[in-house]
Amino acid sequence: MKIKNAFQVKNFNLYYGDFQALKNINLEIKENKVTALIGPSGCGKSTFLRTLNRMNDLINSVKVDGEIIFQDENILSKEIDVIGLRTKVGMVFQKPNPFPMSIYENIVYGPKCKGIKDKKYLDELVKTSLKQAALWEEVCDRLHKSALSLSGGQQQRLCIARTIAMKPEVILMDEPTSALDPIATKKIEDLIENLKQHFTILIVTHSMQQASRISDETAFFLLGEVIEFSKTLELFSTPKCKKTEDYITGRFG
Amino acid sequence: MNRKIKDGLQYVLIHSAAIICVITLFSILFYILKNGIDYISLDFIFSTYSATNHGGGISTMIMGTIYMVILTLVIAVPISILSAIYLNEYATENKVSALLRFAIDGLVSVPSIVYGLFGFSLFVSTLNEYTGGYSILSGSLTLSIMILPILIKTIEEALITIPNELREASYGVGASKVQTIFRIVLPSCMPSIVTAIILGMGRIVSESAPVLLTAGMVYRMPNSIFDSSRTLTTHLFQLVNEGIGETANQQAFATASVLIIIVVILNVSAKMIANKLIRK
Amino acid sequence: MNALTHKKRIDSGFKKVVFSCTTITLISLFSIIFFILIQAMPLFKEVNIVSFIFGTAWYPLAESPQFGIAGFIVCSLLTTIMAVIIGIPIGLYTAIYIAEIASKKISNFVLFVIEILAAIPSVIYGFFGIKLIAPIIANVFELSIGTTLFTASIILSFMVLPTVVSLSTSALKAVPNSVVEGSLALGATKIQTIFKTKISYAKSGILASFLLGIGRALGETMAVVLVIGNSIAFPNLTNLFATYFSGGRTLTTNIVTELAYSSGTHRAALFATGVVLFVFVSVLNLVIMQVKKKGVK
Repeated sequence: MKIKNAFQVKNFNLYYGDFQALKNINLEIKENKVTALIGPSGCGKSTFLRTLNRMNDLINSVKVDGEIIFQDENILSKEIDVIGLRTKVGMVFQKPNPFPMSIYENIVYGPKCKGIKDKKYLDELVKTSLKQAALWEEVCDRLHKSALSLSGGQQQRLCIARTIAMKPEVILMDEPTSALDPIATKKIEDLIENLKQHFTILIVTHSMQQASRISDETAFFLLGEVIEFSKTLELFSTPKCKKTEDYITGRFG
Repeated sequence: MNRKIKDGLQYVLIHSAAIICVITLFSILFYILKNGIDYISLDFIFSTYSATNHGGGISTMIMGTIYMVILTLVIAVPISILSAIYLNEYATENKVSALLRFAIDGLVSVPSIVYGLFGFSLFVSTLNEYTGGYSILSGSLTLSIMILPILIKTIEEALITIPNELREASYGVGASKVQTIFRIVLPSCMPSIVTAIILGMGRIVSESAPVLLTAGMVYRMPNSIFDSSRTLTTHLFQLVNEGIGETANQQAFATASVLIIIVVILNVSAKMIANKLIRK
Repeated sequence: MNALTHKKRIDSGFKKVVFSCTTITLISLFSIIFFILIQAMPLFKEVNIVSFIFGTAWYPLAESPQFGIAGFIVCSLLTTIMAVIIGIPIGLYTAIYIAEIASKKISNFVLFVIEILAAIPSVIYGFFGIKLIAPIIANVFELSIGTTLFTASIILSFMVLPTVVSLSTSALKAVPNSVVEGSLALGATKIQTIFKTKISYAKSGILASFLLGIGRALGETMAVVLVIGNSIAFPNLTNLFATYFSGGRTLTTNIVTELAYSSGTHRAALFATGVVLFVFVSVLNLVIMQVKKKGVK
């Protein structure tokens, strides 16, 4: 069985004003796999991730060229329905950012924005999403309490549940565990392992150990370029490129 | 799509609201200046008012306003600067400073007419012997208390923006706390303080209810701060409330135009100083 | 050595000076309360407080004078409510325009417009109201006189705008970007993000701006006195529509119209009117403090 591509990135360039932050990126992100993006700070990995659901649109000075094909469409084109794209390509952020509402309201926020009002459906959705995010057991008796009352790790899993509730194809994670303690991190990593059956996951991480633990493929970014992209096992055991080897041997996550 | 319509409707409402605000301001400015600007002349500014036929000019009211502004600032500015210094440089988070902050917040919310009643009761009636009853002094004392909390708050905000490193650097070369405050902290935030004072002037010029109740209505040229006097606002009020006939009407529009010009000039200059500050 | 102790002495002396200056605010607040209460006291020797607040007739100079301010309280509330109904939506939406929609240049311009609106003297608002708005109201609603509660409400709504706009704008601008991104990433539109997330995040600040606007409307005097007609008739509560289009008198305007020629019990009654107003505003202020405290948490 041939594995399909979730994203096909061709000759992609990105500029902040005059500064070129990403140079000629070519990648094939595979469906239902976990792809890790690693590299030193400022290498452009987060910027790249934010391109995939057009979050960079929020920054005025950003200009792009090239092609990123998702479901047979170039998501960089002006005609693309950005809102629709974001419901298919969800995102989890570095710091947990629950809305100042109840846990329940947080989960149904996205669907409600889409115009779904069916109470029964929403109730069920909250349950399944929280279960998928391994949070249901911990919060099922206080769904209508403020989301801000949860611990940091719980908040991040809530943000994942919130994203799952949109029934996306892809989940982008921008260093989702960098603000969490090791135990909460472990829970999120286990969760990612389970989630990849249903979703394509791209994760930006500072921790090479994390990348090697949870990802199937890894892309190493340096100064705006993809230096090496291959199966995680290969990249970490037999890197083809000298720069990759320097990075993975010289740093410990 | 349903949500596109909803969003579009909200966009329309948001833009309309902003347009309403702009139109409101410009219709007020345009309407008053259009009807008043023709009557403003050097003669109108510099001649005295005649109550019998509502004729003449507003020189005495301008003097009254100037007296009121200067005296109020003389009282309120030093007190507010010193208070802001206390709150930002000395006060620790304890019950006393919490109480003081509570009082400042409380004073901000007191309606101006209540300040008027207070000034009337204390300065005009009780301290009649010292203030001359209805007088510029009574009015200024009342207005001082009124603008004090706002001045304190804005000046304190300016003090907060001065980074601590600057103070530490000053202490590091052996300066005392007082020296640091007067040589480093205050000069660094002078422009913000000046802006606050200009906006305070605007408030004093604009205020009317408390002035009416404490400075009285005499339209003669004041000889001293113990005389009663009209300001531009109370004069306008009197003209609108009791003036009858075309000249009173013209006088009212002209006086209103003068007031608007003053207020706009004060705000524009405050804005210019603030903008310079940002560019730095 | 000598110079050092001298410096120290100046430092501690200065601390005392600035502290005393700050206490002036506290002393002022207490004196305000004290002097208004003391002047209001004589009234309650003759009239009990219930018949003062709930009395519907105000005949201070009659043979057997009556001091009931219920009508003024009602008019204050009616004009404030209507002013807020008109002013709050416009104010909030303008704040959204400034904080979210407009380009930097335009939003600075609108903010400046709002600052000037705040700076215009209240007498000018009243003057504008009686010269332009009142005749329009009289024309549109076919009234003989345009000075009505509704006219006052419109003028007050202009005056409420700056408070609501500037404070709501700061509240909206203080919402962290991470929350906005979270919403957009879930496929919410910009408008949905503003109305569902940002407003809910900034709600305590926005609510405080509404309440401060209410306080402003309740306490406004000079603009209202020129356009409200100042009739002492008790407002007709069964037909609010008719009431809004007839004249009235508020707590503040009662004070300003009569204080100058009052004496004795009459003057005390006017101070007592001020006390009632002060109590209203203080309660409002305590609510605002609670709202802000919640926001901080």
